[in-house]
Amino acid sequence: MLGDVVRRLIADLDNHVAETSLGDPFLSGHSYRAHALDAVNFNQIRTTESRSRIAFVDGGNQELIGAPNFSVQLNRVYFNIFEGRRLVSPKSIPNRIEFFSVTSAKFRNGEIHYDTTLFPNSEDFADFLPSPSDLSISSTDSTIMTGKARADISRVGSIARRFAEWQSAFRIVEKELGHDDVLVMDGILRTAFAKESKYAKTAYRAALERGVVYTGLSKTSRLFTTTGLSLLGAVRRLALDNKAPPMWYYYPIAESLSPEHEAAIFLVKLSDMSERVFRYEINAEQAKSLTPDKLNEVFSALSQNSNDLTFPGYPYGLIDADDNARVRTQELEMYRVMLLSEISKLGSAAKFHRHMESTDAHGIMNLLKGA
Amino acid sequence: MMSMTVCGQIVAGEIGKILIREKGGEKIELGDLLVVEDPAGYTIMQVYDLLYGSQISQLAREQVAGLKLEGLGVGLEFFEPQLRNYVLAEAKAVLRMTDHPQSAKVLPDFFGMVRHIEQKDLPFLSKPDDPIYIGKVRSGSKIIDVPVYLNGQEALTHHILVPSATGRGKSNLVKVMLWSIIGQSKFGILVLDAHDEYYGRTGKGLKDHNKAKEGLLYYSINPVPGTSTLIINLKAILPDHLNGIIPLTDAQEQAVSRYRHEFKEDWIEHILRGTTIEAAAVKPVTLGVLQRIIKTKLSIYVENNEIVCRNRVFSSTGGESTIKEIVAALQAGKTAIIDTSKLGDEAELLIGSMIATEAFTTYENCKAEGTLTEKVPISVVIEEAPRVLGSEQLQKGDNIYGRIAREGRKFKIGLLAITQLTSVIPRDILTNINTKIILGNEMATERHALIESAAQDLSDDDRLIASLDKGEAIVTSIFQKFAVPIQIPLFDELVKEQKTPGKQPPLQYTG
Amino acid sequence: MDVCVKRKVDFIIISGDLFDSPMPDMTLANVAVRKLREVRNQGIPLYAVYGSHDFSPTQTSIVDLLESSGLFKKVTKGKMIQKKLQLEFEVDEQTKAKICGISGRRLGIDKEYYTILDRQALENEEGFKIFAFHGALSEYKPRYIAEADSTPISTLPKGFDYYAGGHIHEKMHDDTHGYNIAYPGTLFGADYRDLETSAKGEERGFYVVQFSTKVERIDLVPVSVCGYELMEYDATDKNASKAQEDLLQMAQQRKSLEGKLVLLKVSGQMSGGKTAEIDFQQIKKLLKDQGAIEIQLNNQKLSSKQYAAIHIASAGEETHKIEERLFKEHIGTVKVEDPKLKSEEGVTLSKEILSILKQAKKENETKGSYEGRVIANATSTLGLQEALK
Repeated sequence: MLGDVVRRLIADLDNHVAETSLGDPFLSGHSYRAHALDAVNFNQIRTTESRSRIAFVDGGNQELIGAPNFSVQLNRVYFNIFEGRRLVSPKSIPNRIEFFSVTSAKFRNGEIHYDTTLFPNSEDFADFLPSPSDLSISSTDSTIMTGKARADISRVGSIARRFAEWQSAFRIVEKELGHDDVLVMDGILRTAFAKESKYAKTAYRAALERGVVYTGLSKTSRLFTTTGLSLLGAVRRLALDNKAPPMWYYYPIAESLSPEHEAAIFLVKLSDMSERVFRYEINAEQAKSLTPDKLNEVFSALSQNSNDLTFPGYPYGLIDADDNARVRTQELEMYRVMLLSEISKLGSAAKFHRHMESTDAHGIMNLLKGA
Repeated sequence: MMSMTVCGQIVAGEIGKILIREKGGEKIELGDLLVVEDPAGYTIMQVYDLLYGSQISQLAREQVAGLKLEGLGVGLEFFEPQLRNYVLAEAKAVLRMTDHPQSAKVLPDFFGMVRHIEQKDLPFLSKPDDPIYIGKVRSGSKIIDVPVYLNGQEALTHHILVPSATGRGKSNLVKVMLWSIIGQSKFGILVLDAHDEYYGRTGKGLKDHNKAKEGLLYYSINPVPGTSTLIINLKAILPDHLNGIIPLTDAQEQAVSRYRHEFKEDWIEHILRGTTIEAAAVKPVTLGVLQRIIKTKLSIYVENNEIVCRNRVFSSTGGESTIKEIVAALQAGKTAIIDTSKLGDEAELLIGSMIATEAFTTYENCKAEGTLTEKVPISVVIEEAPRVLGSEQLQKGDNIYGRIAREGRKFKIGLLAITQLTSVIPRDILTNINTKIILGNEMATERHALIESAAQDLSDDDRLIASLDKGEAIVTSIFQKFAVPIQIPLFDELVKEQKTPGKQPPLQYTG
Repeated sequence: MDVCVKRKVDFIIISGDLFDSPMPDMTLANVAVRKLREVRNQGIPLYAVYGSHDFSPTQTSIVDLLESSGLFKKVTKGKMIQKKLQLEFEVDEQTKAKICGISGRRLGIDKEYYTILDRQALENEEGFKIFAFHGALSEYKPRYIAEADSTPISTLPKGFDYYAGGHIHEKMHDDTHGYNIAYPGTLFGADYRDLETSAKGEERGFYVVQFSTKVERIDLVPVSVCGYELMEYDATDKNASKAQEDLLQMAQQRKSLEGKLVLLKVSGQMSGGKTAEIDFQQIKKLLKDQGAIEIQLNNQKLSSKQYAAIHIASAGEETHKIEERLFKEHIGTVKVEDPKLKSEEGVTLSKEILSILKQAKKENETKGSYEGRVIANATSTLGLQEALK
C-alpha cells in the first residue's frame, strides 16, 4: 500500500522536475537583469601558478538567554588566510573575535524597537565591531519582519554578527591583504539589514583602494529558472549537455541593479572531482575591471583551495572558517550558567524568569519528551 | 615552555589516562617519557597507548580512504593535515617532582605543554653505593643518557626476576649485570650456566673483564686452561640436597635415610654397590630403583667395581673441596660460573642445590653468631626458574631455591631467577621477588602474571610490555620511584669500551 | 732413601719442602746431606722442584746449597720468550724420561707462572714426560684446606705421563680426569692434624712408579717414621683439678710408649677453674718417663667458662684458620691505599708476615742475628728494602 503511494508520489514529482526546458535565470523583483542561459557562458578555469593570498571570513552566533523583550547572544567572526595550500598566520590582527550582544526591547515612537549593546571579550576586538548606534532597529522594519508579524528579538542578534563580519572584512583588507589578493565572505554580497550597506561600502572601498578582489560564496542557493527548475540544477544540466570543461565558471547570470547588492553573479564548479556548483559573487565594480586572465587567476586560486578530500569542490578555507566561527550548542551551557549566576547575584532571578518563561514552554516540553 | 622539545599538549583525561595531542611532525612513541612543567615542579608521564584523533568524522574518513584506494581521489589531498588528523597519546603520570620525587597525586595542568624527557629531569636516578649497572633510561625507543643502577645490597637480597620470551636478550642482560659486579668484591654471585654463555669460552665474555683474574671463577667438566674442572666428591652429597630436585617416594626416602645413617658420607657409594643393611631394613626392589634413579638422573653407576660418573662430575677421589671453595669465593665477593651445559637438569640443579645449601647454612650460622652484617650478599643466578620454583615442582617438595626465595632475604642470600613462564611461579614467591626486569613477552598470560605481581601499577602497560624490542626492558622494583624503562647495552659493546689496564711490569722467571 | 737404593730406582723426584725451613737446623741438614750423598753415590739422580718452605727472600736456602753441590738437579729451568714461560726439559740420561716443573713459591707467585706457561710447547714434546710441581690443585684439595690457595688442574700442561705433586700432606693418586696425578703426602707431618691422621692409622709413604713408554704401575711404599699413641680426653663439666687428676691417671695407664709419639688431645668446656691450672708439663713428664719420644699437646678446644665468649667463635677451628679468619675480618678496618695491603692480597701478605714472625731462633744463633734475620725476611716480603735504605 505504502509502496504504491510512494511510487505514485515519485512519478508525480518526476513529472514536475522536468528538464525538458531549462529556462533562464529568474531573480525576483526589478533589481536584476537576468541573462539567458547559454552554453557559451561557460569559461574553463585553467590552473595557473599564483602568489595571491585568499582570506576566508565567516561568522556565527547563538542565543544564550532570551525572552520576548531581551536576547543575549554569543557571536563570533573568524578568518583565515591561505597562500596556495598553506595556511599563513595573520600579521597583526587576531583571527577570531568573540563578543556578546545584548538586545533589549524599547518602546519608542509608538513602536517596539530593538536596541543592541555589544560586549567584546577583549578590548582588542573593538575595531572589528559595528557601532552600537547602527544596531537599533524597529521591530516592524521590513528587513527583519517575517511576513506581517513583528520580528522576533532573536533575529536582531544576527544583525550584530553580520555587521561585524563586514567590519572585520574591512580590517582584514586594510591590514592583511594586498594587491591581487582575494577575500571570500561566506554568503552572497547582498546587504539585508538597515545600515548594513554602510559597512559593506566601507569594505568595498578599502578593497578597491588596495586592489583586493572582494567576493562571496554561498554554499546554498534557492534561485530558480523561468521553468521552475533550480537555477544551479539547470546550469549543471546545461554543462552536462554541452560537455563543459571539468572546472568552469559561468557568467553572467544576472546583473544587479540594486544598491543593496553591488555584485556580479557567477556560478562556479571548482573541482573536476566534484559535480557541485556554487553561487559566487564578485564586487560589481571590481568585476568590470578584471580581465579574463585576472578572473581566471581568481578562480584558479579558489579552485586550488577546493581540493580537500572531505568536501571536494568547496573551498577548504570556508570549511575551516565555518568550523572556527561556529558557536556550538555544547558551549552554550557554560555561558548560560555564568549569566544566570550573575543574574542571581543581583537578586533579579525571579524578575528575569518571569519574562523568559513567556517563551520557553516549548523547550520544557522537549525536555519532557527527552528530546 | 615554548621550546624546540615541545611535542604535544594535554587536551583531556583523568588520573591514569591523560590524553595528549601530538604536535605535528613529532612522533610520540609507545613508552615515551614525557614531562609537563608547572610552577611548583614537573610531572613525568609515560605513554602507554596511541590512537588516532581527527576533526573529521569516521564515516567521512572512510569515504576519503575509499576515494584514494580506488584511485578516484587524484589531485585531492587533506588541507592542513596535521591540524585535522593527528595522534592522541594516552599517558599516565608516573612521578611528580617538586623538591623531592613523589607519586603523582594531582593532574597536570590542563592544556599543559608536554615535552620529551631530558637528562636533567631524572636527578633521583643517582648511582647507589653498591651499583649494578643495567642500562640507560629509555623513552620509547630513544636512549636518554642517564645510567640506571640497581642497589646491589638491596636488589640482590630481595631477589630479582628476569622474565622474558626467547631471544629478547636475557643472557645479554645478565652478562651486563655481572660485568658491573665483577671486581667490586661486594657481592658473591653463583651462576648456573646451562648454556655455557657467560664465561666467554669462544668470543667475548666475563673472562674479558679487567678484574676477572681476581673476581671470576669458572668451573666446567671441560675447563679452559686456567679454570677449574667441575668435580664434586660423592661424599659431599647429602640426602637433603635431593629435595625437590629428584623426587623420591616415601620408601625411597626412608632407604636413603637408612643408608645415610649406616654409612655416613659413603651412603651413595653403598647404595650403588648394593651393600645390604642388616635386618632387611631396605627392600631389594627399593634399592634397585634407587640405583636406577642415581644412574639415570646423575649418571653415576658401578662398573668393574669402580664408581663411575659418565660426565665425570661426581667423583669418589677428587672434588672434596669444590663446594667449600666455591662458597668461600662467594663470601669473598667473587662470581662463580658453573658450566652445566653438558649436564642433565637434575645434575645441574643438584650441584646448584649443594652450593646454595652450603652458602645458606654458612650464613645461617653467621647470623646466629652475629657476624652476618659483615658478609657480602650472595645471589644465585638460575635459568628456567620454574624447574625449581614452579607451583607443580614445589608441590612435590620444597627445595633450597624455594627456601631462598621465601627466607633468603633474612640471610643475605637471594635469587636472580630467569624465566619464560612467570605464570607457573606461585604468587607468594613472586611477591617476594621485589625487582623485576621485564623483557619483551608476547604471551598475554605471562604479561598478566607479571603485571599482577609488579612493584608498581603496570595495569596499563600490557601493550608496552608486548612491544618491547630486544634489549628493551622495564625495571619495576620496590626500591624505585616508578617502573623505569631502560635500554640494555650490548654486552660486546661494554667489553669494547673497557679501558685497557696499565701495562704490568713483565714477570721475571727465576726458576 | 734407603728403600729407593734397595729397589734400585732409576731416579728420585722431590716435589719440594725437603725441609720445612730454608735454613733448617744444621744437625738435621747434616743427616739429610749424608743420605743424599749416599743415594748419589749409587748413581741415582735426584730431580727436584722447590717447595714453599724452601725459599728465602733474603738469603740462600739449604736446597740452593744442595743443588749447587750437585746433590740434586732443579728441573725448573725455563725462560721468558715473548711473555710466555718456556720450560726446558731435564732428560734423565738413563731412562730418557723428560722432566720439567714449576716450584712452589710464597705469595702465590707460582700461580702467575702457570698463567703464562707455554703449555703448547710442552704438550708437543714427544717421549715419556713428567711434570713436577709443588702446590695444591683445586680439584684435589682435601676438605679441611678448602679455602687454601690452589691452582686448577687445567693450568697443568696436558699429555704428561705423570704429574709429581708436592705440598699436600695427604697422599692421593688419581687419573680419572686426564691427568695422572700423585701426591705422596707427608711422611711425618707439620702439625697436629697430620700426626693425628697418622695416629688413626693413615698409611704414610711414597710412590714408586714403574714405566717404560708409559706408566705401568704405581705402588705406595709405606714408611713408618715412628709409632703413635693417641690420647683423647673430654673435660666437659669437669673442673681443672678433676681434669688434671684424670689426665694423670690416663697417662699412668698407658703402657708401651717406647718409640712412640704421644698425641694428647684435651677438649671441652670445663665447669670450673682455668685451663692454665692444668699442669700439662707434669703430664708430659710422666708420659716421657714411660718412654714416649715426644708429646704433642692439642688443647685448642679446651675452654673454661670464663673464656667461653672468646673461644666459642673459634671452636672447631685450627690455628691457621683462626688466623686467616681474623685477618679477613679485620683487613677491611685498616685504611690503606696500597692494593697489596687490602682484601685477599692483604690477607695473604699478613699470613706471610705472621709466619716469618713465628720463626724460632735457631740453635747457636745470636739474638742479634735472629732479630736481623726476621726483620730482613719481613722487610723483603713487604717489598720495603729500597724504601728503608
